[in-house]
Amino acid sequence: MDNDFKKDVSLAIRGDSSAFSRLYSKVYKKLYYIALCSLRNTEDAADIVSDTVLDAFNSIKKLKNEESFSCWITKILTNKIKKKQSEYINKAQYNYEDFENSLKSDFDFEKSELAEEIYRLDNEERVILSLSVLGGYSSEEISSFYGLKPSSIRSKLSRTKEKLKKAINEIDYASNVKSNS
Amino acid sequence: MSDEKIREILTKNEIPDKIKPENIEIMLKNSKKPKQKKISIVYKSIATLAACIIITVAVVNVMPHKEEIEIKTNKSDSEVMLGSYSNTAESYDYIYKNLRSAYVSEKFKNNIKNLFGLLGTKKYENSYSNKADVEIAYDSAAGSPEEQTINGAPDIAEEQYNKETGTGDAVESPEFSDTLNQVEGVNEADIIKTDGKNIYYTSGNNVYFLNVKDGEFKNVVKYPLYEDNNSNYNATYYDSYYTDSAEIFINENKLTVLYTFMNLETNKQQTGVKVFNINDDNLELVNTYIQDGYYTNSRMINNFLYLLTNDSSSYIGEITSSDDVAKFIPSYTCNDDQNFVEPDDILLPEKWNDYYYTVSYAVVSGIDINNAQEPISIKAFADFGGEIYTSLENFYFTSASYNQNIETNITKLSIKDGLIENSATGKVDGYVLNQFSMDEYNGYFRIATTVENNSFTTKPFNEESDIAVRSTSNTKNNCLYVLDENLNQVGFITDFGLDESIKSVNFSQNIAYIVTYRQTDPLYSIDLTDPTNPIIMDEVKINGYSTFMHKWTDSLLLGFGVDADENGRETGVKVVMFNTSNNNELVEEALLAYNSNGSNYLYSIATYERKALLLNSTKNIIGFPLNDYNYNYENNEQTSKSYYVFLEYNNGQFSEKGRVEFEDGNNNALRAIYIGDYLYAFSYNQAISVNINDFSQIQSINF
Repeated sequence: MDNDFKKDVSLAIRGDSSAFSRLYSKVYKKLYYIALCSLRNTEDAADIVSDTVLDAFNSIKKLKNEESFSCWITKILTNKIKKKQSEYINKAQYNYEDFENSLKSDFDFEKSELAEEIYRLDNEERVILSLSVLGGYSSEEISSFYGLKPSSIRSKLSRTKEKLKKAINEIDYASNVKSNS
Repeated sequence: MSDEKIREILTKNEIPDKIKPENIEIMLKNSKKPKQKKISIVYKSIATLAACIIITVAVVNVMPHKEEIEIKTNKSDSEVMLGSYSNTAESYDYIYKNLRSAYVSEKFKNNIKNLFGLLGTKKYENSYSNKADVEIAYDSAAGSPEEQTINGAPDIAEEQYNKETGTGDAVESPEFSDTLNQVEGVNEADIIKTDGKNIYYTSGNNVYFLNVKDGEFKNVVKYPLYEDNNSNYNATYYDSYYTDSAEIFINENKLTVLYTFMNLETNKQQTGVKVFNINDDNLELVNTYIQDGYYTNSRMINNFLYLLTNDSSSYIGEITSSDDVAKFIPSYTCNDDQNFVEPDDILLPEKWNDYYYTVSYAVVSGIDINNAQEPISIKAFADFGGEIYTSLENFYFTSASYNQNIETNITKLSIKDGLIENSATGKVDGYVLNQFSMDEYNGYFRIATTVENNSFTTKPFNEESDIAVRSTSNTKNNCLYVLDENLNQVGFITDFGLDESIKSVNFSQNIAYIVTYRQTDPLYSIDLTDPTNPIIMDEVKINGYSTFMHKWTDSLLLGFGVDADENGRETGVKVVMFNTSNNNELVEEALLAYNSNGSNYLYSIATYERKALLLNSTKNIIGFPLNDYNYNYENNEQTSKSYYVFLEYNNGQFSEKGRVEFEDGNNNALRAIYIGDYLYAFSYNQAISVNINDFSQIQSINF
């Protein structure tokens, strides 16, 4: 057990922003990439992460048990993502170009195809996929963030992965055809 | 395909400076101090609810072995996926060997794939420290008492007050509402129940006993379900998203509570069943039963409870001997006696389905709540999990598996007075939306599924080029199957709602109503009078889609769901009434939609939790929660409002009778019930009672 971590949480609860930043530094990459994958917009992803940080800092008193810092802050993030995604529906803000371009800028054919496939997933699928793959959370944890039953999370996740896997298989197949011809 | 590859793709972007820790620190220093949420105390003794939900964490099993999980094998096409559960285990040793061999072969396949570079060779640099997080996260120690006081959570006294309240002479008990059950006689659990005299409500990790009379809360007693010093954090409004942590049943004079908690000794999630006697002014605990795994579903028929939990074994690599029974066999505890499920009650799949390096079991038990000492029967299905449908006599489990396309395996169990027995297995194409996609009538089992078919065509751009061009087509189709009692297919219909997926289903004896959706909401009526030959009778198309359908009267079908414009953009919540007096000609009789005006966003939790609806055609009430979330782009301010709305339906028209607004707009309205002439609406931490006729507020209490 990292004693500093425990100490940092109790310091942060008392309002120490440096301690909070140290805690944050352990999770911020994961938070950002989850937000980015879910929202497909770099600016919004950054905004939502800083929003989450403020909320978390302001309510860290509610965090009782140090261990769960990462889960707790991800839960806040997930709720913000859900709200943001719903704003997109209303506001018709579809500015995903930078994200799309960055995904496609890969010379590896297979990877860029996979990227495109990920890009095409729907909102919910991207959130759940990123929480699982980028966040490393179990379906039980994701269910507590997302408000769906763990069994639904599990089936959605495997359905999503199945979709992606299929895309890849198809590419393997296509490159075989090509090399044979 | 590996998670690692997905991760590699998704972490390619540079992290903006703005959110780097050093800059965040500056931002925090400049931010003004948080304003504290006010704690409103209505009743002194209730104080605020410092409810804590034990976060359902099962990280230990999964996370430390991340590296190994990352690679998930592609299943070869020739592999036949699991179909039936005819396979009971002979002994724990048999199960152990099965697990080990499945595990070894998976690992072997992964290695082979790696060798051939099919899954990519570049190792992902673990730039963010998942692993560290895990190590930290699991050396647990409860927060010191000192810290708890800093947390500002007042200790909650479980006290009673207003004891002298006359609880009524029960001259005649008024009519009251019940949970929206799918099958008559098969009760479903919910977070709220009433017997006309008291309301029982669970919120956080507590059960509330509320004695009410004529809209007034006479007596409120709180019962914590477990010691909360282990919980991860205090209740925040985020918890209101997670409402299915505890559910209750009432049955004559017994209250049964089902809840998930974390056993800190074993680090396993378990489900507790507490049975209380309902006395005049309090509840009295009579029994506690514990089953491994988190709570997933339940039904109650008369006094027999059928409990379904989902249990995960330890990481298979850690199970080194078949004597480690506790690591891979689900157990249950009654009277502090731990028992393991017997080998011949454990059913193994013919082929292992999803492999996450732990085995998950669906554990189902039948319990007599009048004598909850020991389950009457208990069975565990390895590697299984999905939606369930329960009729008075049968339990139908579904589990999706992936072959060429998604298939749904169905396992039928007969249930009688708590005794659970295997009865039949079957398989259909496609996946099931929810329990309402299934029905049993006259011995036939009907199931509606969506079949998704992703196909790709890839061809080289030109002869010399390395670049290939690919077009994807994702086609969807829907199917309705009729199976006999042995789950053999007797009838089948497909090709309705092409490229759309099923959003809700309602079976009314020989007619199935099915809503599919992509951009508009076609409602299909399908005649099942001849089980071998289902016939589509009619379809109507309207915008949006219904997520739940309910027979309002014999000739009217009520739909509740999401409204959308003609481009398929979801705009709000809607209620729709179809006239089904002639199933050959469905008519949309009435529609009422709550749509966003551009700057706000309207939604209802009832679009995914139908138990949040209050529907009664004799009282003419259509109630649902409604949330209004508003974001102001100019000053970056967000406001949320939370309502419970009541409608009535008269002569082809819906009209709003009234609504209840909760103090804290961030807390979703969750449920409403009625007793006689009074409505009681509940959010996570507030209850409001109003008169059903004029909607004048009678009382409001905070938990």
